[in-house]
Amino acid sequence: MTALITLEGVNKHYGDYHALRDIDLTINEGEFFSLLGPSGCGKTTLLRTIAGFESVSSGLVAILGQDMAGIPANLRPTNMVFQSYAIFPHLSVAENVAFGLRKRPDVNKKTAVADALAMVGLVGYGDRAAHALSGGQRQRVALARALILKPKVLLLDEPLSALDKKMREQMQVELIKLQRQVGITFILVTHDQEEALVMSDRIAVMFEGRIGQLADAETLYRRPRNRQVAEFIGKMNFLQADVASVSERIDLHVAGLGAVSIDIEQAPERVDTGAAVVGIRPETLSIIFDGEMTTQKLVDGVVDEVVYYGDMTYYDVRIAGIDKPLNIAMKNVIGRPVLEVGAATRVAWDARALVLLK
Amino acid sequence: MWRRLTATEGGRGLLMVSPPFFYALLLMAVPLGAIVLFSFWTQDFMALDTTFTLDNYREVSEKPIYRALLERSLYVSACVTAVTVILAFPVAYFVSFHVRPERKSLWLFLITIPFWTSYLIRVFLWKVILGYNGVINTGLINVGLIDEPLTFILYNVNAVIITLAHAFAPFAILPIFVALEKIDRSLLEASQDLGESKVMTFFRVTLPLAMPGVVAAVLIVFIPTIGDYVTPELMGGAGGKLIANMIQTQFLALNNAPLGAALAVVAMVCVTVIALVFVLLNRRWLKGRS
Amino acid sequence: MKLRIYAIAYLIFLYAPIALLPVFAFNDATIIAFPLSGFTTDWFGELLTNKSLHTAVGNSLFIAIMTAILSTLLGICAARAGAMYRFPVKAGIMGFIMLPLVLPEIIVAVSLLIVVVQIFGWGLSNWTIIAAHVLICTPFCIAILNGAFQNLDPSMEEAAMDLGESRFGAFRTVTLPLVMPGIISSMLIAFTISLDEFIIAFFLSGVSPTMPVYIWGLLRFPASLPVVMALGTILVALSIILLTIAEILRRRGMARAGVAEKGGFL
Repeated sequence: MTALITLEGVNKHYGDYHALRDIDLTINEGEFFSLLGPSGCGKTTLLRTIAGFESVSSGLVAILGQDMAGIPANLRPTNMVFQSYAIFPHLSVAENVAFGLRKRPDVNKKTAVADALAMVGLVGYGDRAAHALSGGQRQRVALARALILKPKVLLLDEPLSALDKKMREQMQVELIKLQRQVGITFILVTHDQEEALVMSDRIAVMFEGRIGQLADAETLYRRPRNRQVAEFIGKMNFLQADVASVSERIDLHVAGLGAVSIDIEQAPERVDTGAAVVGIRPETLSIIFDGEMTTQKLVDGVVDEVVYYGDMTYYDVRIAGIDKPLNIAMKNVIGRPVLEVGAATRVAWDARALVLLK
Repeated sequence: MWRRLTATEGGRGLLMVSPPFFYALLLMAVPLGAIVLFSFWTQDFMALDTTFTLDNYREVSEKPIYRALLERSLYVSACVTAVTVILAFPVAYFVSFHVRPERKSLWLFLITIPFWTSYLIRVFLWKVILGYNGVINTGLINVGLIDEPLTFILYNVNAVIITLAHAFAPFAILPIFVALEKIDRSLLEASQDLGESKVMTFFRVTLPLAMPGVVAAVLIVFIPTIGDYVTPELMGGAGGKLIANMIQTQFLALNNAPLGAALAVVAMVCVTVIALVFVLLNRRWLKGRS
Repeated sequence: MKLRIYAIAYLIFLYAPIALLPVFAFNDATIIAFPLSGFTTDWFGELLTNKSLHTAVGNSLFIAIMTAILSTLLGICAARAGAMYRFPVKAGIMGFIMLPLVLPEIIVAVSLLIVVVQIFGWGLSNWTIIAAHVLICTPFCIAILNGAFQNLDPSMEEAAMDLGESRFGAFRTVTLPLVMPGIISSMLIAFTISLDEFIIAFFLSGVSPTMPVYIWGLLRFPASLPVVMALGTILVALSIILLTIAEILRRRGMARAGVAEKGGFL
């Protein structure tokens, strides 16, 4: 893996507002990289500094080892798919796709445009007026228009946010396939954690101008490095804990669950003895119905709330010693009843599913 | 310096806006300053006496003719504003609420067209309509409603008000229309859902929300009407002349620019003060309600 | 329904004077009053032979064309800055530029008269009128161009730059074609305002009058009134045509930018 984009100590100020704080980041060739975070976290600003639309206040942005300071967007080996797609309404689809070829006389426009349109599944759309396209089609045109220039990196600014749910899921799969096909580095900006988890090789989760965690999807989900990341990605139950000792393994006492011993790996943040928080995902907990057996540890509880989703049922179960009910996700398999509010039940849990946070 | 200006968005914006800004500064702000300066000087036949003096203002405040003209001007402007805005509101309301969206711009187009066409001739034609042998008089005589032509509708203040109200009509309709268009229609449904009648919904929701447009309409009519001298000249007769006619006379006929400047300054100050008081009262009133 | 009747009555009120123009322009009598006497086109014929009218029209056309170009250029700067950039004291600066919209024209006229004649001692010419007309037309141009620029997606220009165009190239290949209908419409409006403007022109015209100033002179002579009616008819027809073109272009521009139609000129 070779480094394609390097950011070192990047800061960006807008007057008093500190949009990017000491960003250090390396993005590799051929990788599908996502910048994930809530709105206002700086992810779009970071993308735009790579594209060349924003200058950095301090720090280095380099692409292929070349410092990008002072190099405007039109001279950078990056191309962008804008959130609004920015399809030129006065040009046809083909003219839109060929827009960037004006300064590339060596390229055969006709075949290049045809190839690009074929790549995004818009064969035969070349003569259409741009403003007559649907949302999904506009996005494909935006993709073709950017990819025709064979950039080193394709920047995607919330490209799916304008689409409805079905279309969005379909485009997610298509984008992954497209990225594998062209082999270009994709950098995706999104606020949708599911989208980031589905599509990316690596994800940088950003909060308030900082990178909270940089990891692959599974690590991010299973071992969030701090409470902010844990809260942002997926659902998580948080329990008060008291750490007794830290060595190869960590011994601790968890409210409601009792004494537990976990692997040091399960505490991504360095944890000292004393008060801490334990996170546990709803799907790693399970309700043990009458007649079911388990080797896992059990704790008694009372159903507080039931939310039925069709394929899943989410239970809130109240357990002695915990002030907030535990959220539990159960698959609805045949023969398993949906419990009612107030039902007494047993909850099974596994120490390997815990993650220890500050 | 250039690099610094073009490097940031703010710098580029300032650079972009600077030509119209400096144009307005040079051709509006500087000349307005010159008027104020001039009003403290005096004209001595052909020569200009540039010693600072308040003589012009003394003359303006002491001679009853100026005071009368100014009062009449403000009265006419106020009447024109009231008539224009009150007549315009229902039209703006109709176009915004009762015209199908695709037809709205046609209506606005029809309303604005007369405004752009030959102002002088339009004013003159009111003379033809209101005059002794005009459309109204001949019409009414033919119908048999009157025997003698009506005379109270030409060469007096009424004629000036009618003509100006006609000239400024689109100026009043457009800002009100824009304010009405901005009102979220679900607010009106919410009001009715909460038990208000259509009429009370209009007074408790629509009208307060349209107030900024009404204020804009008032200002955009009231302020410029002070400066019109064509209409009073053509329609006002002897008793319908306004302050603008006097300013024009001082500048062009009597060649007393400093006194004309003082009159212009006094007129501007009066108009501005009244406009500001109006805006402030309106703000307080709106705040008191919300 | 009552509202509709009222609105239509209001329109009739607005159009009443203009409707009278052709009536008297083709009326075979020297006095402008009822009853009408007969049909004639003589008054239009007189327009063709009137030398001083031709000079006045020439002056007005020159002034109106220059005003249209200059105020639209200034309007483009202001509308672009207003729609696309954030900068310090933006609201104040934009408000200042729009101020001539509410400034009484006589104030504009006398203040410029003082500066040009009394302070600088320059002579009055067509250019003094152009200078003042640009000042009062620019706010109208901005109002029209604002529509065109605000409907423009700001990432449109960025997209062009991203695809290899320079900053200016992006403006030329993307923004300019998209706002072109707005630009033409702004020029037509400024042209119409300038052509029709009387108060400022009356104060600032040099030895040779503009068309409205010339018409003003004619209004004092009852004998020349039918000619004025004929001239007025032509002017009204002309401005309706120009404004219709302006409106069609403005709408086409909106459609091209892919936005729904809303509101009119201002």
